[in-house]
Amino acid sequence: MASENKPKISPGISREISMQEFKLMADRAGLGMNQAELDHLKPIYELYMEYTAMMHSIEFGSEEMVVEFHPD
Amino acid sequence: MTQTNKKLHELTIHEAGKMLKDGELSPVELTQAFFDRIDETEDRLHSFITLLNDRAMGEARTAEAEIRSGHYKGPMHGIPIVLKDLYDTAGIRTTSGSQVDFDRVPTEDSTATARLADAGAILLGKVTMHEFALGGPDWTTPFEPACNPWNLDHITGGSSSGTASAVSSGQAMGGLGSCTGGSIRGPASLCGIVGLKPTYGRVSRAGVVTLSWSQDHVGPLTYTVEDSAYMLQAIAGHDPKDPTSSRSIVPDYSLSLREDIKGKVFGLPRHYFFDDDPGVNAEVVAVVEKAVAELESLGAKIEEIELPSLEYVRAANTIIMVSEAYAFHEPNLKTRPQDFGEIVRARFRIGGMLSAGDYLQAQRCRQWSKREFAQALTKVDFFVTPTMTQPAAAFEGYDPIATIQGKSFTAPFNVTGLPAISVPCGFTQTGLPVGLQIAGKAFDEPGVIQAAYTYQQHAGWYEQRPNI
Repeated sequence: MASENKPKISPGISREISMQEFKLMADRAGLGMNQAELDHLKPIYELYMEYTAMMHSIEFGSEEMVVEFHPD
Repeated sequence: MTQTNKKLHELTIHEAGKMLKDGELSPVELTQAFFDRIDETEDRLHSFITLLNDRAMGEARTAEAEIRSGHYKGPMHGIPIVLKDLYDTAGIRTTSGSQVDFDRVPTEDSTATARLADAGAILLGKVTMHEFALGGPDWTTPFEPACNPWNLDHITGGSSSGTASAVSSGQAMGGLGSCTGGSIRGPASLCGIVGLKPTYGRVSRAGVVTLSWSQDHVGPLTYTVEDSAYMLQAIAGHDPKDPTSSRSIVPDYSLSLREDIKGKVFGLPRHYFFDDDPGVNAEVVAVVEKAVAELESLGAKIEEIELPSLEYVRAANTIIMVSEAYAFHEPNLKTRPQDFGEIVRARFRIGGMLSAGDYLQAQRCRQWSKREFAQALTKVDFFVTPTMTQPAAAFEGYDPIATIQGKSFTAPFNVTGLPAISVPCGFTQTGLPVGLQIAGKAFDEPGVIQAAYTYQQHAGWYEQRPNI
């Protein structure tokens, strides 16, 4: 994205997740949660999904990430 | 009592510093006055995790001898302070407010700890905080949440909760907080004091327990702007132990303690901070609108500006925060999750479930925002906003989930790394403090300090103290 341009913003992406998908993600992360913990965490995770959907709704073009590595 | 008719615990660093320098006040007498004040109030405030009475009195005697022998070090010499309990202190337990680090005793001081000690400050103790600098008051952690000195039934805000309660109540003259999404300015605003978040890289993060490497900032909470300037002076500057530490020259911040904002342009992003929003308290906005009008009456120009990325910045801040926090805390989260409080355990675990794509998109959003803010700052000198969306909430019915929903007025300046200060600007009708936020260009702490100082001197809210 040319630096002087604004990103294009698409409508927010609506996402839903089943308990089965959620458990799979938790297991893949190695978090070792029991069902009660999964039940507690899933609605909180869904709040965060709104944030991730917002990030993915922005068309950044060639925008780079901000963190830079300085070899010195 | 002193010549100013204030009690010793009501003096500012500026006032006490003059008296200490001139030999009108002893660091020993001053430090003891603060321990007396702590004895008098701590059972209601819960500010402290660790009190360092003997050590502090020893430091005070040393400071007294140094000053008497003509070796006055500057405005922080002999000044009693506190540290949020995530600043490493050699030989002193540093818990981060968590069972996870309940018995952790660092072997080295953080750079900020060491620099304050070198400046002659007296460390009264380590103060409570939201666990690992995230979340809210959590009764599943080992430490009682700090209470707001203006109303003990209300929260202080956080995560620098103990620093805010201690400074606001007169248990300390100043203290350090840390800030990843608003943890310095937020509690400062809710407790009626000043909180200064410097530019990212201005103050070393070395020896400060990490929440989010790329968004963590170190800064002071004090009663006045000049006191924050003195504390910042003591801790600012390059540090090879912090790879993100800036090499830019540290100016003399005391030169900014003069009243003049004539002709300065304050950008006001009304669309995000001031327009009607069910998540934003109208009374807070009204108080801040009045403060903005006062800035204008002092010669400032107010210009409404548009910053479209603001709508996305809170999301970017949150995603980057929990992703980096997970990376830092992963070993303990997997081996001893039961030692984390409920709020932080949940949020850190979510950090482990976000994707690399989520994190990278958030970082790209950050770049957009950084550039957009920088462009705006070619046309205005400062941004002016409310510090918080709400006054301090009551403990009763407090909902930690609410803290991750809606707007954040502080996070934009963590994401962009720009310097920002909160200065008291009034009260709600129920007597809860409201803060005015002023942010500026990267490394323009002098400008931010001068703007806030000018407002402070005109408005005079710093003269108000809670009745506790």
